[in-house]
Formats: sequence, C-alpha cells, structure tokens
Amino acid sequence: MTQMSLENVTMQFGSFRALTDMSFHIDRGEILGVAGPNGAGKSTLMNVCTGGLRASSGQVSFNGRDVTRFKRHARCGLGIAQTFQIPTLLSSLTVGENLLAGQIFGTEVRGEATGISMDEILFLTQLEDSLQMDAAQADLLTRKRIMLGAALATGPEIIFMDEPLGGLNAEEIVEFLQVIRHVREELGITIVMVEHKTRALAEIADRVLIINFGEFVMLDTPQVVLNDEHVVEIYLGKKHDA
Amino acid sequence: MSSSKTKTENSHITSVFTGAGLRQHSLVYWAVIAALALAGGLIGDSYIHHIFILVFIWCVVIASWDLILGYAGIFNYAQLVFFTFGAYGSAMLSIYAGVTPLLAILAAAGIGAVIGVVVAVPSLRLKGEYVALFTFAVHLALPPLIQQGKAIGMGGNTGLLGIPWLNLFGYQVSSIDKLTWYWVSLAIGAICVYLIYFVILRGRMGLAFIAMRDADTFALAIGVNEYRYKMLAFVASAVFTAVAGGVYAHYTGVVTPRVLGTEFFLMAMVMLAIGGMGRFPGAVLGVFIVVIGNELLRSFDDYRLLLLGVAVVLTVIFLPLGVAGLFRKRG
Ligand SMILES: Nc1ncnc2c1ncn2[C@@H]1O[C@H](COP(=O)(O)OP(=O)(O)O)[C@@H](O)[C@H]1O
Ligand SMILES: [Mg+2]
Repeated sequence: MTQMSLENVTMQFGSFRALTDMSFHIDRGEILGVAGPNGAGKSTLMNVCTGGLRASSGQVSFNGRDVTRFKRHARCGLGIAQTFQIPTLLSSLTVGENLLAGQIFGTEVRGEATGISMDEILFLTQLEDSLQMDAAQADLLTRKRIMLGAALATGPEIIFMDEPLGGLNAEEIVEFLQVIRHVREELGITIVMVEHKTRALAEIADRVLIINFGEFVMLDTPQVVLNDEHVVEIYLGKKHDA
Repeated sequence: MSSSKTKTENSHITSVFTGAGLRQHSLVYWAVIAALALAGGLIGDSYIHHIFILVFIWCVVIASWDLILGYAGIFNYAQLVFFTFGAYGSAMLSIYAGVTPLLAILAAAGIGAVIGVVVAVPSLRLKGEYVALFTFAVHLALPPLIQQGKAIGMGGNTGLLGIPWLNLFGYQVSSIDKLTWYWVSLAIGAICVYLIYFVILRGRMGLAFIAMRDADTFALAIGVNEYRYKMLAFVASAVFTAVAGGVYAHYTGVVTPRVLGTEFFLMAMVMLAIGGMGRFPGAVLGVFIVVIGNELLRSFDDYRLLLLGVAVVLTVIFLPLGVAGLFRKRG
C-alpha cells in the first residue's frame, strides 16, 4: 500500500547537506508524523516531496512514478498538496476566492475535475460563513483553515503539512487536529505532518518518523518511537536544554 | 445577504473571477465611454481633442503596465520597448510594404507578442529586482539599436517621417482631423482597456497573476503554472502596448527614438504612481490626471516638472495606494 517513497534522497545546499541518504515509504491513507529538533531538515524533506526543492540525488516516487524532477505545480496535478508553516495567502482576495483558486488551478493542472466538492471542503473547514471576508483579515486558525481548504480544493491524494499546529493555543490545537483527522477519515487523504508537540503526534499519527541532522533516525508507531531511548535523548533532551 | 446565503448552500462562491458583477460593471464602463464619445463631439477645440487622444493612447500603455507590474507583480520596466516596437513596426509595414495602417496596427499586436516572448524568456530566469534591472537595460539598449537600424530603414535619430494616414474603409484620416482621431483612439483604447481589465484580469489569468503576486509559493502549491502565466503576462502586456504604439505612429505621422526618452518614461511612472497599481480604475485615472494636469501646468513652463514631482511626493505620502486607494476594494 505504498503511495510515496523516497530512495536515498540527499538534499545539498552548496556544501551543506540538509538531507542525507533518506529512504522510507509513505502508506496510502495513513497519518505520518515527522519530528526532530529545529534545523533537522523537516521542512526540507517536505519540499523535496512536494516539488519545492529538487533532490540533489536519490529518487522520489509517487504511485510508482518517478517524480523527482517534477515541479511543484506538476506534482500538484498528480495529487500532491502542501500547506506551509507560515500561512501566506492570496491576501488581496476573499476567503472564497482563495478556495476557488485552489479548485481552478487544481483542475487546470490535473486536466480534469478535482473530485472533491466545494461542499465537502466548506463542511470540513467550516469556512462557509467567512467566504466573503478578506483573507487578509483572517486570524491564524482561520488562515490555516483557508490554506488547508485551498490545498483540498486541488483534489489531492496526499497532503504535506508543515507544522500545522504552530502558533495555535491548546483549544485551537484540539480543534485543528479534529479537522486534520476528518480530512483523512472523510476524504481518505494521506497526511504527512511535521509536529514538535509529541503529545499531539501520539494522539493523531499512525506512524512517526524521526530525523536528526538530516538523517533518518527511526520510523514506527508513536508508542515505539516516543518511548525509544535514543529518540527521547535527541528529541526531548533538546527540549529540556531549552 | 440572504442571496449570498443561498449561493453558498450550493457551494457557488461569489467572485468577480466567476463573473459576479461583470454585467453591471461593464454597463457602467461602456456608459462612461459613450459619454466620452459624446463629449468629443461637443468639444470644439481641436487642441483639447489632441490632449484626449494622447490620454486614450496612454491609457492602453498604462493599463498594460498595470497588468504586468500591478497585478502580476513582475518588475517589468520594458513597457516603452513594447510601445516602440509597435510604433516602428506598424510605421515600417505601412511605409515600406504598403500595408494599410489599420492592418499594420493589427500586425503591431503580433510584433508585440514576439517582443513580449523575447523579453520574457530571460526575465523568467531572474528573480524580483533583477527583472527590473534586466528589463530597464533592454530599454536603455534600444535607442542605439535603432541607430544601427538606419540601414534597414529605421530612420536613425530623425526617426520615421511621413507615416501614412489612417485609412478607415476608404476614408483618409489626416492628423489634422482631430475629431475623427478622437473617436478612433477612444474606440481602440476602450476596447483594449476593456479586454485588459474586464476579460483578462477578471478571468483565470487575472487570478493566476494575483496569486503569484500575493503568495508565489502558495500559488505554485495550488497548481499555478508560474512559467506559463508569467509568459502570458509579458505577452498580453506587450500586445496591447504595441497596439498603442501603432496608433500613436499613425496619429502623429512621426516616430523617433525620443519615445524612449526620459520624459516619456517619467510620465508613465508618474501616471502609475498617482493612479495606483493593481486596482482598476486607479491607473487609468492616473493617466487622465497626469496628462491633463501636465497641460494645465504648461503656463508654468519651467516649473512644470517640479510641480509634477511635488504631486508624486504628495501622492506617495498621503495616498500611498494612489488614487485607486480612494476606492474600496473591488467586488
Ligand atoms: N534554501 C536553503 N539554503 C541553504 N540552507 C538551507 C535552505 N533551506 C534550509 N536550509 C538549512 O537546512 C537545514 C534544515 O532546515 P529545515 O528543513 O528548515 O529544518 P526544520 O524544518 O527541521 O527546522 C537548516 O540548517 C537550514 O539552515
Ligand atoms: Mg521547518
């Protein structure tokens, strides 16, 4: 049930290696958590998967197809979506138009209807009452809903979410985790999410991937990973230092 | 309110990009154009006609520049290069190949498309401010090229003289026939500005432009093909500007490298600054204000440029979004 796989992926920025020889598989329909200290290469990993970066070496495959050299919009056309750490939206447009843009360009780049109706997106993101609002006026949680809604509107099979819970308070985290869970349950979309908060990961993820210094550390169920001595050391150890 | 409620229920998002308000806004637009056409007939002074003819031609240039700079957020400063190619191309086709001016102006659109691609290809490999440097370098490099073009009949410094009059289905329109020119330039200008703001910018292309300008990474992630849409921005902008150049050539009967001079370029910048970018009808109003203001200030002669400068400074300070800032957001 492998949907996406990375084989010996290395990402080099000049002489600096942000990812080294990374290999793993993402299963269809799972929620995969990605964790690791700051600067471990989590965002780089997301971008290598979604086309924001082209791997220096190695191979990224999606549904058995080599997509290593595909640009971001082309990967979007194959069903790979992404949301970003800092939600930068189409700020001069309305909330509705942000969603519309996802649907219009998603359809264009796919060459067919996206298969996810606007009704479902509005139901999941609960944006139906804010459609006419200027996107620039939205608060952080709403901006995250809009970004997710626009990504869903492109009709993805997998969504990479970079720190979707960042900046939210405890109450908002519960709320947004529920939205993310619904995306998987209702639409069957695979989710790969970067998250610092181990408690949230343990709660939502089927499997957790730990990386450190751009290297693969381990990939297993949250129970196994979060109780692993080595992981606790590199991950929680850092937290205690700070 | 209640009508928007019913619309969301079947998930129809109301937006100018799906045609909301297009009919009403178009009606207002063409009513204004009709009023301008009528006003042309009531104006007895051919000098005033002349000023408005320049306004209508400038409107096309500035709307095109607004499309690429204000809407698509591409720092293109080669706008007058497109204009120059349109003017020379159209003039040379009618002088040397005997093409009737109306067709030559149409051909200028094609020339514009080619030049748009030629300027776009290197620009699309560059980022932000480097696009500005490159495109302005193209602007600066053009006058010497026109000098060299003397060999192929580009007239060198003196430019091209005796460009044939417009022939409107057998009727020769001399440069002195200001009223006819008023209507011709109004008609062509109105169609171009309509196509730019009501067709292109309110369609999928306009949405792509705004998306790339507002949030480029997000735009790519939702499937906007950056290369294609930036290319389209260059081509569309160049096509309309070249048409304006063609109209200008046949109206004045003369084109010289002076269209690439500092005064023209500064005027264009001032129009955009005062009008404001990315919000119709700001940029177009900027043209009216600057061209007409410039004429009213003619009696001040030496101080004219200074006063224009002061106007820009005041606008930037008190109306940072230009005249467009006085309007509420579109929609
Ligand atoms: N475009 C880039 N150019 C150079 N170095 C980069 C670039 N992007 C990220 N890096 C470096 O790669 C490392 C990993 O960054 P990132 O993937 O953002 O980490 P994380 O998301 O895990 O905090 C960091 O040291 C960062 O400075
Ligand atoms: Mg990061």
